[in-house]
Amino acid sequence: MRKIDKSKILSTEYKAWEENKVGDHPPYTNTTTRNKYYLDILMNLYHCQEGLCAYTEKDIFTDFHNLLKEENWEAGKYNKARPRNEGEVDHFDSSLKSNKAWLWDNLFAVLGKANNEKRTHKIDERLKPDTPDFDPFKLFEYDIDKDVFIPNTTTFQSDSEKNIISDSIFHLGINFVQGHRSRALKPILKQIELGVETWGSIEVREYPTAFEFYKQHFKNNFSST
Amino acid sequence: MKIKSLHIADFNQFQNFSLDLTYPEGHERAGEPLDKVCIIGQSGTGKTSLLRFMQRMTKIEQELVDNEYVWTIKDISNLKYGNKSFISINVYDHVANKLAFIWHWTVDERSNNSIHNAVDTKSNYHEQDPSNIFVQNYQKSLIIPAELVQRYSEFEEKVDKDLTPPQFLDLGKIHLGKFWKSYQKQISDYQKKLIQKRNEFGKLVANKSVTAKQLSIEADSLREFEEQLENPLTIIGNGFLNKLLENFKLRVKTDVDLDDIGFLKIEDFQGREVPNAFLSTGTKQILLTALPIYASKLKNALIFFDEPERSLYPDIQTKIVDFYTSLAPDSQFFFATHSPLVASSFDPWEIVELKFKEDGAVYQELYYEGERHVDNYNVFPKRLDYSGILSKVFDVEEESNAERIKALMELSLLERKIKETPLQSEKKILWKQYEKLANSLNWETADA
Repeated sequence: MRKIDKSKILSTEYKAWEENKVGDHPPYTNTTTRNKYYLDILMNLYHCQEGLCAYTEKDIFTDFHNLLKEENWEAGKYNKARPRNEGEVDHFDSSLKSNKAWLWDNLFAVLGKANNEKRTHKIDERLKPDTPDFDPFKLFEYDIDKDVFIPNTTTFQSDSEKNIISDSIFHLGINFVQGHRSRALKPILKQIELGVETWGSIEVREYPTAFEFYKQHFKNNFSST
Repeated sequence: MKIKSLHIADFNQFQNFSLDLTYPEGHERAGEPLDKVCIIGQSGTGKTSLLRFMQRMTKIEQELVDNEYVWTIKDISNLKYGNKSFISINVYDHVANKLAFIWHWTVDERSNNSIHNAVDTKSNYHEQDPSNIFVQNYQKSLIIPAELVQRYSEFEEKVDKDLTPPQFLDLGKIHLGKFWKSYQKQISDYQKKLIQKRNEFGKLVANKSVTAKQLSIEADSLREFEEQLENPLTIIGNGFLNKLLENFKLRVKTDVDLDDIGFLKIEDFQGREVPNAFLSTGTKQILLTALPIYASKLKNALIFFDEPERSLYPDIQTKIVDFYTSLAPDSQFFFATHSPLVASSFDPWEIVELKFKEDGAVYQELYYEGERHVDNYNVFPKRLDYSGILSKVFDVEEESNAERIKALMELSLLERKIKETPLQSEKKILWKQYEKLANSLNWETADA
């Protein structure tokens, strides 16, 4: 889970509507609003998140590079049919879904399959990936034997703090791709180990944060690598 | 005939759908039809439909075949003639490189006479009611539907008198008795011969004029006769059925009375007969499927087997592909399965994985990139452990269930706690927790 910059707005029609909206938003299930803005929001989020799930960092929309092309957007709206993708829009703070369902600040594109556990669970605000001081290395540790993220035990020292962050990690589904993440990173790490590639030269698209943790681990423990 | 390829132009979820069912380039049998095929895919992708398509292909006119491996099933589509609906299949001849014939069957299968019709390509099938042409000679084939076990008692009760196996066998529609009847006769003949020989020896013993030396020679002769005379039940048991029945601590009963041949008898390892009504569904599944394949003596047949794993424990599932294919070694087998353990018995070119497209149509997931060559395959079920088969072949990608993820995170935090705790006594207490948790995770990811 890395820091996300959501400042680039492609879905300008939606954003203007959202900013000018006074009072409660239409319900999230409202068909009119949904038909009008859902795809624009999802596509804009894919652009900001480079096609990766905001929480798991699994690739959920490979073709995100094309999103910036002018022909895909017309008058601030995505003008193509919904492309093949694995994502859905998630409300980071699910309590806002009742009256601020369309708040841009609260929305992220996520892997649908990993999002089932979240539902209405309260997530610790410190784990919101677009907060200005979001730093995954202060928030998390990555257990490279088990391929799971856990709370940073230096930042969160008390058991209660660890439990809060641990619950949030769990409900965000960050570790639900554990097996896939492991299999995706193994060939990359093996190339580095065998000298086929170096930490600097290899390109990593999926799971960049886990990769960075590996990088730190190996550099700290095997500095000559 | 073996099936080399299949193309469905437009039928239900299959649209412009092609299958290459030959060994790929680089294989020592490149270009030949596969001996066995495994069809996998989500429910509703059409595994059973594919089996049925190909099974019906076996009903086409035999005389049109001039080479064993020449056909491609092409362009399956719906066809209307007047108020009748037909499924139309174009069959291509690879050797002559032309359309061999068009074959139809009616969508309404209730009438036995209307389900198999072939039309020569010279005919214009659009102007002719396909149901006017009937085909009599079929390619040998056997289809084994998934729901056989439910009909076990029916099979047991009714022993068909017809000893001639039909060319086209559908185990969903015919009685196991049809196959068992031929064994009954063999068993009866065997026992008659044995009793006759023993009676002859008994008479010699009763005859006071026979010398001890003569008796000894005749006793040796009887022993030799008994050793050489093959008990059909031993052939059924030791030959194939016991290989799987032994897993259930059961075997074929070989010592049966002439008056009580009835149906095949099964006994436990202590020699106690198990009444058929008390056989497990797994045992019934094996009897109902293996016996017909073996008894049919199928040569160069097509065998379509839906869900061979039904009612069988995982360790048996890993053995059944080799088991069944050994019963008809010259035939081409098609298995449709949901079992990763069954799929683990296949090479990648033998697997047809069906997947849904976004629009609900079905396509085949290819396990190779570029040219269809053995070197270009990237999924090898036989090299994977069962977890790997689930994730790589069956796409159970998010294999980590909530309970497991929680346990892994807990284990990781516990590990750090043990490292950080300065007190040895505290470490030992925490270790007990760690050991228990790691054990519940099978220690698979607990090692450093």
